[in-house]
Amino acid sequence: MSKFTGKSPWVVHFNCNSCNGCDIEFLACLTPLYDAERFGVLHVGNPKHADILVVTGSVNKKNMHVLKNVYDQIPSPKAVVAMGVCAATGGLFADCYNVVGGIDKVIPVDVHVPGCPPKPEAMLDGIVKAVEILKKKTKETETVTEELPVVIVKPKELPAEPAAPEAAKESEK
Amino acid sequence: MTYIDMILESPLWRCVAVLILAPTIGTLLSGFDRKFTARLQGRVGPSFWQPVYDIFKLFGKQQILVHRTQIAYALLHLFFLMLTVVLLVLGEDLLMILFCQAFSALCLVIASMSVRSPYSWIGSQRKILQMLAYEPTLVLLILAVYLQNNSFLGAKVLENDTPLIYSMPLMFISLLFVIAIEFEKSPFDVASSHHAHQEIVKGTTLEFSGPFLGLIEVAHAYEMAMFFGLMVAFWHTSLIMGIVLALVGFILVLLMDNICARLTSWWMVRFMWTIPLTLSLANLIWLWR
Amino acid sequence: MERIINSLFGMTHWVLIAMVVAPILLGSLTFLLQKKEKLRTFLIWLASAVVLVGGILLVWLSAGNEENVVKVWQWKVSSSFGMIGFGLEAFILLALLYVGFKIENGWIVFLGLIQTGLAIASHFIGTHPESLVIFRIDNLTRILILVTAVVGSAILVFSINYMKEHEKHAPEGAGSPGRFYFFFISFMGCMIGLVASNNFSLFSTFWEATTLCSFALIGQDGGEARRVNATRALLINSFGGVLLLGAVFFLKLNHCGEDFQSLTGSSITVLPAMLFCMAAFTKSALFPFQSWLLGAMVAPTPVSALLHAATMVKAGVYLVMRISPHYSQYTSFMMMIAFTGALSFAGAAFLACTQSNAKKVLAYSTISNLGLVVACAGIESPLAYAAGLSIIAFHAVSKGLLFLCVGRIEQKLGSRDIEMMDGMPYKMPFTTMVAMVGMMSMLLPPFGMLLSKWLAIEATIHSPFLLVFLVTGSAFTVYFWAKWMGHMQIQGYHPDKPVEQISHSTKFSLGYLAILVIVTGIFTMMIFRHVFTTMAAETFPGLDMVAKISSLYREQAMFPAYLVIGCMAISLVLTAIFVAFLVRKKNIRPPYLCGENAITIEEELNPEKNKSGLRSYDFYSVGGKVEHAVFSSYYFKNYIDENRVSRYMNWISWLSMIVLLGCVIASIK
Repeated sequence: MSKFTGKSPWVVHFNCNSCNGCDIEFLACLTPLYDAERFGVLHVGNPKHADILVVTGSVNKKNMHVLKNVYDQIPSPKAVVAMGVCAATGGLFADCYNVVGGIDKVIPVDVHVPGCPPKPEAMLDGIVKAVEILKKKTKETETVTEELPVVIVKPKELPAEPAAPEAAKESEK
Repeated sequence: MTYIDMILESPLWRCVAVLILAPTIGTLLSGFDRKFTARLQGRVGPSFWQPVYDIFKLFGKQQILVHRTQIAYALLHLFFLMLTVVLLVLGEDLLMILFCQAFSALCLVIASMSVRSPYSWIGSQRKILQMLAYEPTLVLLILAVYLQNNSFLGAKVLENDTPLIYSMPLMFISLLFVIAIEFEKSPFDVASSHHAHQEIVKGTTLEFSGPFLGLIEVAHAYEMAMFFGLMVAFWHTSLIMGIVLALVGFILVLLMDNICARLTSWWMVRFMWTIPLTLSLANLIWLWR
Repeated sequence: MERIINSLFGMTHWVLIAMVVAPILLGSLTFLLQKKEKLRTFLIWLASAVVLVGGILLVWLSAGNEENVVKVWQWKVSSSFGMIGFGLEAFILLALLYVGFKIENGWIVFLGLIQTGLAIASHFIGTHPESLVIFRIDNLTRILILVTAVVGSAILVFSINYMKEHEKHAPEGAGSPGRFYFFFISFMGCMIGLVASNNFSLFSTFWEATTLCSFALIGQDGGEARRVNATRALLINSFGGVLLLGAVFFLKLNHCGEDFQSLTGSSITVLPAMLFCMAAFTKSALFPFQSWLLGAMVAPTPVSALLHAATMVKAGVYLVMRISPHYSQYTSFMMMIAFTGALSFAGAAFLACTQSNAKKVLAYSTISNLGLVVACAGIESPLAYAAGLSIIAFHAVSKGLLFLCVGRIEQKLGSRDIEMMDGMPYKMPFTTMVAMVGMMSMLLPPFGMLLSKWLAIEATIHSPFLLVFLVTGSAFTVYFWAKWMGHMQIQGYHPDKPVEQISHSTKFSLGYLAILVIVTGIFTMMIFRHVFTTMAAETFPGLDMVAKISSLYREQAMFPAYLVIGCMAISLVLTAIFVAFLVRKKNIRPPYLCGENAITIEEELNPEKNKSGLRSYDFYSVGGKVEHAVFSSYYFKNYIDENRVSRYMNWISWLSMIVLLGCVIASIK
């Protein structure tokens, strides 16, 4: 079965907090010039059909539960590719007030592809590496992600309305 | 040679043979589809056997589900398509075969409506519209076959001396549109698509994953084989000519897929109820004599 | 023992009279004893048992014993005894006039007066024969008696609990339950009388009696909307009554006789035959008379079930089926009858697609199926006729079941909107399952409804004009059922087995009908082959129809329905195996919502937190707000206006009525 797994890696691409540089480059992999489909790669739009999760961009407090959800919805065996430096360490945005860091803070990562953005050749190479790892995994080696507190950034609560002038006057009296 | 004769003689063996052959043909066709599309786009494309790898891979994955009832409808979808193919080989009543096929499509619709995911919901709504769009054309096709052979039985088609394509060329054209809908090809791929992202992600099959998606892929292979067989039946007197005709039809559909953009589901219904239906009716009236 | 059985055969006419009178008596008894609830319940059970056993007994007895097989059972009486029929007719027409005066509707009084005039005139014109065949039971009648007995009794049992609930929150000014049961139970007696009577005065008596009963039942809950709709039903059906009595008068005027044997197919009887058919259209609510049946939806649901499945509308198609075999030589006449039916089939199916109200969908689907029956009767092929017979039978069971399910869902959910039917497998597992069986039986290959549609399409092959309507209509049928079935199945994952609170009588009636649907579904081909085809062959006079039908039907009869059933069984068994061995809690995931699921799977599985069973579909929207996803099907509301389409359809069907009249006048010459 692992033979077939290696031959048909279906990829889901998740933009975590990226500046879109990596995303554009990643989509370029599907163009005739690089043609990722010759490895059997299909770009499926959803985690439920996918084998490999490609993440671009760093994780921030608001989207970490989204990343975890997407990861959990992929049926195992599954592999994760951190595409670009932001996904690896947080990159340029590492020190931002809301950024948690690289995606390995939230989900287990199998392959790191460096670059800002990585070249399409490097990306394809990363996916092929991920396929090698995927082949060794089985249905049973599912990595369960730890339970994260769901962090939701809520809009700031509006300040309480100032008391009506009459009431204010009454209180003054 | 004697083995082949034996298989052709006994209905049981014929059924077994078709149950094995049909998905093989179906996957080969979709392999051809992917390779052909890739070449049209100037790419190398995947291996010819890629759909086979995909299906086998899916059966080795974790069984992720939303709820239990999904399984029942996925299985019903598959088994009714298998039944459709078997009935076709047994040469049964064509109209009843069509109803079996419609029921199998209906099962997929119910399955994808039941999960209450917005994407698969919209996909299934569009799938029902697709069924609404192509049903009348298919029924008219079968009625035309009756007028030609004086029988609704599929087996009687083979007894006719002249190929059907001579008497119903317009029907063949409208059948191509039906096939484009059934194979989820542009511009009719509104319910779910074989290509990457779209606004409803994967539509009807979104909430199926792993082996259950595999079941649906196998069902799709059966469906492809069945419609390919229908095209072959248009030139039933000679198998080679039939296959050539069917391949030409299939390539025409693929070409349309590659040069067209997706259009709305309403456009699809309007189109199907005007041009192909009129073509079919015209052909039918001419057969009436 | 044998002697008892033989003496039973001699008493068939008493059984028949008992079948008509006993429901009316039991109904009156229920009316009088309505305050004592236990006794009332007992009486209702008794009435449904009487109707069921009596109906089956009647069918069995009228079919004759082994030594003395009779295809047609008749009861001949002397002419003076037959006058009772006229007395009853006068009585029922007076009742109609009384109702017309009471609700102060001039039109109904006017139509009632015309009817009375016609009835009196046709009684005193000409001479009466020495003896009259007042009751006559043949195969067609037997089917309708069985339908009334089997489905009607189940609906009656269902109504016990329904009416108990209904009473609790009945609107102001609603009629008492005793009144309801009086009309409800009498209705079934009248229906059996209607299909069994042969003499026109008895026939029109029961015809008017069912009209009046339906008027009373539609207006059961009081209030303006009910009053308007009940009046409309009465008005349209009185118009049908005028047509019916007009036909009787015409026959009498031309010395043709006063029972169904006078409709021999001679050219003088074509005009009355047409009038009979038009009267049947009003009763069956085909276009353009459909409005009363749609209005009748305001009644309590058992009434709708009774009107649609077992009795009222079936009387109309019964009349068409009774008349049409004799007029096959008048091609254009029959063609127009078939056209009207096919128009209703396609039009009603189309309008059903635009409805989200479950009862209205069912109503349109009923009209659509009745249209198909009429189309089958008009096609004039034994095969189509057999298909029509089988629709009458199978439609009754499936539609009865569906109406009861909708009634129950409406009471529990407080809404009859299809859009509100979310999470049904969790809220009401039993009802949902039963309703799915009912809906599947409308579309699934081996079941009776699809079989009939299949044969109807195959039989229409030589009339291209009808074919277009049948083909489009059947596509629309799939469309609206698919939408509803999908809605009924929306659900989440639940580790525990849901339990439904359901009373015994309700469970019994639903389960009984569901089992009936499944069993008849499995044996459809057999039933069709042995019952309906032979009946159709016997019905068509002249020629060696038995030989002809077997040659026509040979191809269809060979269809291996067992494969379809086997397919169904294999999938269900495999599902059970998969569920037992593959489904683990750790494999359950919420649906894909771009990762923004607002509820984890643990929370979803916790019944405390997830009472509705549907929270898993909540998602985080902008600013962390939790949104609840709501889905809706396509109803074409922006494209198609129901009223406007109905208006167009009515125009077309009135036009076809005029053409029908023209065809008849042409054929007289």
